[in-house]
Amino acid sequence: MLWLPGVDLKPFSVAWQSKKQFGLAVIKVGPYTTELFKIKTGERLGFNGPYGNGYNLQGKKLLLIGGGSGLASVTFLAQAAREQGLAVDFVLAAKTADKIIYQSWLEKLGVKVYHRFQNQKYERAWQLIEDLAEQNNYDAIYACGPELLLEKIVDLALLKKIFCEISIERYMKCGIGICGSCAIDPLGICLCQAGPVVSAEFAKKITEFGKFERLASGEKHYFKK
Amino acid sequence: MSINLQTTISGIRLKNPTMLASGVLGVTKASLINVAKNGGGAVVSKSISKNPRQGHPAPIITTYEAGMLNAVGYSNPGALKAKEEFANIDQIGSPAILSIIGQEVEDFVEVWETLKNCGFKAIEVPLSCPHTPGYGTMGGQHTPAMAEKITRALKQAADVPVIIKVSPNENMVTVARAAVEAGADAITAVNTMGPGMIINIDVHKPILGFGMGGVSGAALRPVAVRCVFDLYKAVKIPIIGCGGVTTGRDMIEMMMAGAIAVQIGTAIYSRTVQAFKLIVDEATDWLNKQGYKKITDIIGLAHR
Repeated sequence: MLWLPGVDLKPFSVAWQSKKQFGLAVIKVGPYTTELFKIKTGERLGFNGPYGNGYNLQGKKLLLIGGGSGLASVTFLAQAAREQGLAVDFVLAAKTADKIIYQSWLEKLGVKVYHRFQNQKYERAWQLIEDLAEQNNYDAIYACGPELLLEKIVDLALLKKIFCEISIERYMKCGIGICGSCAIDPLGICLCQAGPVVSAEFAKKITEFGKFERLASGEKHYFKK
Repeated sequence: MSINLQTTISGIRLKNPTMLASGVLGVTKASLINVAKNGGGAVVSKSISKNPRQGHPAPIITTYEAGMLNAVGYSNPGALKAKEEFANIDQIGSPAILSIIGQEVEDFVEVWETLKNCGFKAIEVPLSCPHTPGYGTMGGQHTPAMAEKITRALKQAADVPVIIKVSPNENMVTVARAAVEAGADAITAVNTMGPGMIINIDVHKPILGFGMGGVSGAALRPVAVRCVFDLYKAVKIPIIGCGGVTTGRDMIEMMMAGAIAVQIGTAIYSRTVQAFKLIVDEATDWLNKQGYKKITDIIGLAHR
């Protein structure tokens, strides 16, 4: 979790790493990221963690899908997969063309990148994913992005019996399973520890998956279908 | 040999003396069910206010070598949404207690009126939170006068036991006595102490979003044990011990000081939600070795 002293602490995935550095992908979406964009080189931030679990690499030919700010966790996976010489197709889904990031970075790693700008219902990205899954014999699918898109991906993977893991976003405040903000129905366990990466099978056990998330107050926020 | 672990707080029967402390987990009904499944003898909800609250900015929790500091700031969805969340809370396997917060005396009653049909077995009122302006010690509520007013109002409105949660501050006994006078059924001792502060020296700023926060865990335990010990002598109603209980031995210690049950919060960080079962198993072992037949036999033993 990235700490902006005096402002807030928010969960982020590591987007890439080298021997001496690591990177995060941040999209300006609210008060916290607005403040984060104001910082200058040399200013100090804090980080806690890493918390939770990560993806399990499996198979030789992989489909990775990253939507919006959910991109980061899968770019990190793409880097790890390429280091092991695995074949990676990558779908970058974004709302607008200027939100397509990491494309050339991924291509330099030897990743085959497809991108789609999506309308609110992610239809164009979804169509591309369906086509790719039809035309290729993927061993595994990994995805992070808008939950309604994740829900479709999980159903597709289960139908086609492809190994699949997704990273689910929930309001996380403490990251250590104490505050209960990210408790998921009906299991009542905290996603900051049990996730954020879960298998497609596990996702189906979460009854709130694809339906609602809880806000900072604990109030339910229903996804618009 | 099996040990009788049952304990009773104002008529509420617990299968064992462990309870989930308010503020830890408890945002959702499912998380309370999970605690009950993991052995929690009773659970206390997250504190509910009349209106929704976002809470303090994060970090809301930080840990250090002697425990934990928190300033969550009473985030909760408000009474109306909480009523939906906690519907049929009497069917989760262990008795559930509703924690209520408010700024005016009427707020406490209004929250109870909204949630009274959910199935909560008791009300707990923290007059003692040390890190939320307008509430607890920062709202001037930890005084004998406020304790009496709030307790009396809830006793008139509710037909379930009212438990008052006190601060380890020096006026603890007088606040507890005022609550007893007004009809309180039990006392939870204690809330977090402080507030304390931890500064990150690399960025020279306090770590917690609110700057300061309540101290819990191992650092609080001896203070909490002494508070329970003092209250056991001062009041005749049941005392629920709370503060740093992490192992079975800690629970035994708290009960010997006079607690009829113990609340657990910070231990979930080091031992996960399995803390309840682990603590009960460890206490059972100890009681077996010492030849006790029921856990209630050790209550107040340190006074004899």
